[in-house]
Parts: sequence; C-alpha cells; structure tokens
Amino acid sequence: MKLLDIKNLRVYYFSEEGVVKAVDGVSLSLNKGETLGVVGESGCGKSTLGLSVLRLVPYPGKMVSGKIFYNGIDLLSLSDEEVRKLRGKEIAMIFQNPDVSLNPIMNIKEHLVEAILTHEEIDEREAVEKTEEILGKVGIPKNRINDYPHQFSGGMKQRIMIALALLLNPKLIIADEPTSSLDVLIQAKTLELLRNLKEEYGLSLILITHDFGVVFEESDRIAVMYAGHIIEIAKNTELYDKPLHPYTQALIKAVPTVTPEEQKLNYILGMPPSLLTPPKGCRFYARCKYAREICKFKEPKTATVGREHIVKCHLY
Amino acid sequence: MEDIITTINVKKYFPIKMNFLQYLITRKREYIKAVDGISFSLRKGETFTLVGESGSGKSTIGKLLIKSLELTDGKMIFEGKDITRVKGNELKALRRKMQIVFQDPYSSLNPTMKIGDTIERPLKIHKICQKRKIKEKALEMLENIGLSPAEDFYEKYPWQLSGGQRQRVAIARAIIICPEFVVLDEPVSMIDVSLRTLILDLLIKLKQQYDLTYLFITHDLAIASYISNTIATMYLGKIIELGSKKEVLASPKHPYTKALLSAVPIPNPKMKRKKIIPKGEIPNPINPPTGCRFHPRCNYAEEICGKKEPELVEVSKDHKVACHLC
Ligand SMILES: Nc1ncnc2c1ncn2[C@@H]1O[C@H](COP(=O)(O)OP(=O)(O)OP(=O)(O)O)[C@@H](O)[C@H]1O
Ligand SMILES: Nc1ncnc2c1ncn2[C@@H]1O[C@H](COP(=O)(O)OP(=O)(O)OP(=O)(O)O)[C@@H](O)[C@H]1O
Ligand code: SF4
Ligand SMILES: [Mg+2]
Ligand SMILES: [Mg+2]
Repeated sequence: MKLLDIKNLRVYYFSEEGVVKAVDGVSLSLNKGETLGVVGESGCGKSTLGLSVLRLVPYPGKMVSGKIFYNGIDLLSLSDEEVRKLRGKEIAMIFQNPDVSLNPIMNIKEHLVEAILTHEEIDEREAVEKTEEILGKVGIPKNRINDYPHQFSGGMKQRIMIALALLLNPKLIIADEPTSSLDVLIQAKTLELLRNLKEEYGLSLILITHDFGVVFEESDRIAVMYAGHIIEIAKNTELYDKPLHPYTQALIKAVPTVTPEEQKLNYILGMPPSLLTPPKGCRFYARCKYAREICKFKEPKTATVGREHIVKCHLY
Repeated sequence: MEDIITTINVKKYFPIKMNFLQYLITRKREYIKAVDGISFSLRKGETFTLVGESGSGKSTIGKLLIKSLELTDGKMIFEGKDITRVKGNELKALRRKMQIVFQDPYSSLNPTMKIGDTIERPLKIHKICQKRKIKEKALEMLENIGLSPAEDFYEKYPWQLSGGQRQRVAIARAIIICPEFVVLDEPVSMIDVSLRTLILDLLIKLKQQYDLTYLFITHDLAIASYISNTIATMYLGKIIELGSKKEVLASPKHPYTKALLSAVPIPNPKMKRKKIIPKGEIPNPINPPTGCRFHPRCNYAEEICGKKEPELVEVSKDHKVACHLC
C-alpha cells in the first residue's frame, strides 16, 4: 500500500494582494521506504506542499481542496487534536531554517525532552536517556546536551533538527532543504546520516531541495515542480536519461558540474509566472522553446508515459 | 600576463568583543584570525576564484582587496603601487578602479531608487561622464546586461524585478564606471539554477568587453569550475592550494581540496564516487591548530604536520600546495 497519497491538492494563500495559488492541483504518492525528491525554482510551492502534509500551512494559507491519505487515513478529515498526535510520531518535518525552529532560550535537552514528554508517557529520566541516544546517532556528544542553539555550528544545528524529527520514531520524514545552508562536507555528512537512519528505521523520506546534485544522489523518484504544479515525476535514472518536460530538459542542462573541461551550459530566459494570476494555459508557456498555440490557452493534462513516468505537457 | 594585484603575507584579525568582566578574567585580547598570512597575485584579465568552507576567510580577503577593510598586517600592491596605507584622494581614485558585487540582490539595491538612478549614481559620484551623456550610458548598460527594453527597466523599482534581474542591475552598477578589478562575492548563490548560467555568462562577456579582472568568491565548486582561470582553496584563514583550474580540478593535491571535491554531489545518478569526509568539525579560528591547520582532521597527517606550518610552495607549473606530504 502507498504510505502517502496526495490527490489534486490545492493550497492557496489569501493575502492582501490577492490569492496566491501556491499548490494548485498536485497529485503525488510515496511508497514505503522510498525517498522522493521534490525539486523546483524558488517560490514554486515546495515548502507549502510539505507543510500541507502536516497540516501546518500558515495563515493566510488554506487547503482549498483535494485529499491527503496517510496509510489510508484521510488527513484532512482529522480533528486538530488527532493531527497533533500524528505529528512527530508518524510524520515529522525537518524545517528549512534551523534558526527559526529552535528556541534560543531553550537548551538542547529541553527541546528534545519536552518533545518526548508531550507525546509519550515515560518519566523524565527515560526521556533524557532517549535524548542522549538520538543525539549520539546524529553525532552530537552527550556533554553538549545542556548547550543552547547559538553554541552550535550551522551543521550541528541542522543535525539537532534531524534528531528532533527522529525522536518519536516517525515513519515519514519531510525534509525541507535540510542541507542547503551547509557546506559541502557537512552536507555530505548530514545526507549520509539521513540515509543510514532511513535504512535502520525503514523510514520514508520526502526530500525538498533545489539542488539537482543532491536530488540525483539521494532519491529513488523525483518530482519536478513549476509554479504550483507538478510537471513531471519519474524514477531517478529515467528522469536523467529521458527528461520529457521542456522545463526539466532545460534545467538539467543548466546545472554545472565540477570538471576541468570547458562546459556548455543552458539557461532558461524569463521567470516563472506570478501565482496571483497564473496563466490560463501551460504555466511554462512563456519560457518554453517548444510551445505551440494550444499551450497558451489550455492547461495540459497529466499524461502517463511509460512506467511510473508522468508529465504535464501538450507534447505528450 | 602582468599581475594586477599582489598580496604579501596579508593578515586580518578581528578583536573579539568581550565585556569588562571577561577581560578581567582573561587579561588578554583575543582575535579571530580571519585571514592569517596570505600571499598571492591576480593576473590581469583572469578570473581568480576563492573556494572553501563557510568562515574560512573568503569574503574578508575580498573586502581587504578593495580596501573596504584595513589590513592588520602585510602588504598590498595594485598596478605596481603599494596601496597598503593609501588615504584621502588617492584612496578615492583607487576606489573607482575597484568594485564589489554582493550575494544578496534583495538587500543590495536601494528600494526607493529607480533602476535608472541606481545605475547612474556611480557615474555621478565619480564624475566620470558628461552630464548630458549619463542617461545614454545607463540605457546602453541596461541593454548590455540584457534588461531590455532598457527604457522600461530604467523607470522600474527593485521590487518590480526578479532576483536574477536585480543581480544584473547590481552587476551593471559595479561595471558602469569601467573599473579594473571587480570582487564578486557569491554573486549567483541566491539565483535560481535556471538563471545562474545566464548571470555567469553575462559576467564572462562583460569581463572580455571591459577588460576586467575578477576575484570570484564561491563555496560551490561546480560554479568555480565553470567560471575560473585560477582556483585557490582556503582553510581557516589560509590558502592551502592554488593553481590553474585544470591543475586544481584534475589533480588536486591537498587532502582538504581532495575531500572538498569528492563531496560535491553529482547531478548524474549513474556516476558514483567515494566521498572522503574529514573527521571532526572545522576548528575555531581564534585558536587555530598548530602546524598545519588541517592536521587534526587529516587522514594522512604525520608527526611534522602538528609541529610545523607548511608553506605554499610550487609542486608543478601553475600549481602550489601547502602540505608537508605533497
Ligand atoms: N504566508 C504567505 N502569504 C502569502 N504568500 C505566501 C506565503 N507563504 C508563501 N507564499 C507564496 O506561496 C508561493 C510558494 O511558496 P513556498 O514557500 O511554498 O515556495 P518554495 O518552493 O518552498 O520556495 P523556496 O525554494 O524559495 O523555499 C510563493 O509564491 C510564496 O510567495
Ligand atoms: N567584521 C567582523 N568582525 C568579527 N569577525 C568577523 C568579521 N567579519 C568576519 N569575521 C569572522 O572572520 C572569519 C572569516 O569570515 P568570512 O566572512 O571572511 O568567511 P567566508 O569564507 O566568506 O565565509 P562564508 O562562506 O560563510 O561567507 C569568520 O570566523 C567570521 O566570523
Ligand atoms: S505544454 Fe506547451 S508550453 Fe508547456 S511545456 Fe509543453 S510544449 Fe511547452
Ligand atoms: Mg521552501
Ligand atoms: Mg563570505
């Protein structure tokens, strides 16, 4: 069975300037034990999508329509109390920015112990033991348990966030840019840690990032978002070998690699459309090399091409 | 090619802010050794790239070179002249020849100023061009950086532009007065992947067109590999490897550079590479390790590494390394 199944989800921000259609008809599923990478340009709705699964979309955002099934349960039909019980225990999130998520006046022990005690009926001593164990797993020494967030480096804070997410043995982790503020060496260490923990606990992972290197190294499948839509999903190597959507194709050719040779790279002129007034037709139309007349007026349907490869474009 | 800038044993120490009590206890001022004895030259017309982890001192070098920070020690030569202690009018004249572009295209532009005014301002400050020609020059520059129709962009405000467009304005503002030397501090790290190469290609084009020399700062080795002629790796305030792009990327010598290169994620699922991850965390720049600063984390360290600081020496043509074992 699918662990997570998102059906035609729409999440809008009802802001003063108008309605921002941040997630606008997204369908997506995740198998048990799988890592699904979600990539896309800044502002295309990746974080909003991740937050929706935990029902944490902030005001003035609202889930307008669609369904999210977790293990067969319709998450949107649950009461707030029921969702709160799920958070952390079943589904956990690693947030984009540790500095916002960690409370500066609480030390690490307080952060973790409190999180355990609100969910589990164990005494404080056991909670502290558990905290120490988890911190050990993410490579934070025991003797730093009484330190405050500002006493840790960026990489260490990110690992504390991972510890927080793992604390209650969730089945699904949504990691929103878990390494984008880190240096390559710390990033590599952090990703390796996530990979090992995933195997050890049989976790499933949604990995949100804008880094194609990271997504190709870590994911089983990859979903590409553009302006509130998912425009392509495929298995990792399939997406690399046979990207179908013009946006994916162009993007893959735009990513530099480390090589002493000369590189010929691509770029995509223009910018994504405003999500306040998204165009009627294909949202990539204005930047697309292959656009035809129909693309301007009609939103393409999502087509299944081959095994588990879907694409939203009139060419298919 | 002749050298445009040379630094000789340049140092920058920042005093640590202490309260009176701390001072009473320690009785000594402590310093962050952000840049701790660095010597290198930039050749005219090249793109010289500094790579290395956060906090290694890259931005500090950039600011020292354009004289927006005073050096603690060492010497700097620009176009054959000692500029270590220049002041007053001489400094002002120098400033015109040196520009900087920062990482953040959102905070670096004045939100209340139209794009046209933003680009024209340096021309007015440095009184470079005749009054009646100023607008013409600004429009030409806008066209040149791909913001066309220039007349439209001239009248816009920063908030009406995307990140990539703003960064192009920041670049235009730096280059319009025809400097000799430009520091580019992470100029594309906040730009989306789909537009990064556009900005990098624009920078390459402008360099040729205006005969510029770049100091390019990035922690992204893929970007370094796209734009550089020369690459220098920094670690804790020191340059530990320096060479032509080809040399450094094809045959890195320093264990730290090797680790850094091995850890870059490859956007190709069919290529797997063994990552070398040094043990431990980056040490504190207040009390850097003795000897080679990398020795506590290095897999190859021998006794000498903890005792003697290795110098940056030539190991082959266009390639210098600071490591006892290279
Ligand atoms: N609180 C809010 N009010 C109004 N609009 C919002 C709010 N939060 C997000 N948005 C808008 O919703 C869209 C999607 O935002 P989201 O943060 O999900 O994007 P993202 O893909 O995660 O971007 P990034 O890569 O920059 O993190 C953006 O256009 C953003 O401006
Ligand atoms: N004005 C300052 N006062 C005190 N310390 C400073 C100052 N500027 C920089 N530092 C310190 O000097 C060291 C080098 O900083 P620098 O900004 O040059 O690093 P960097 O290599 O550019 O890092 P990043 O990749 O994070 O931008 C750091 O430890 C930093 O905290
Ligand atoms: S639908 Fe048309 S405009 Fe959109 S990506 Fe496909 S070809 Fe291009
Ligand atoms: Mg986000
Ligand atoms: Mg910097």
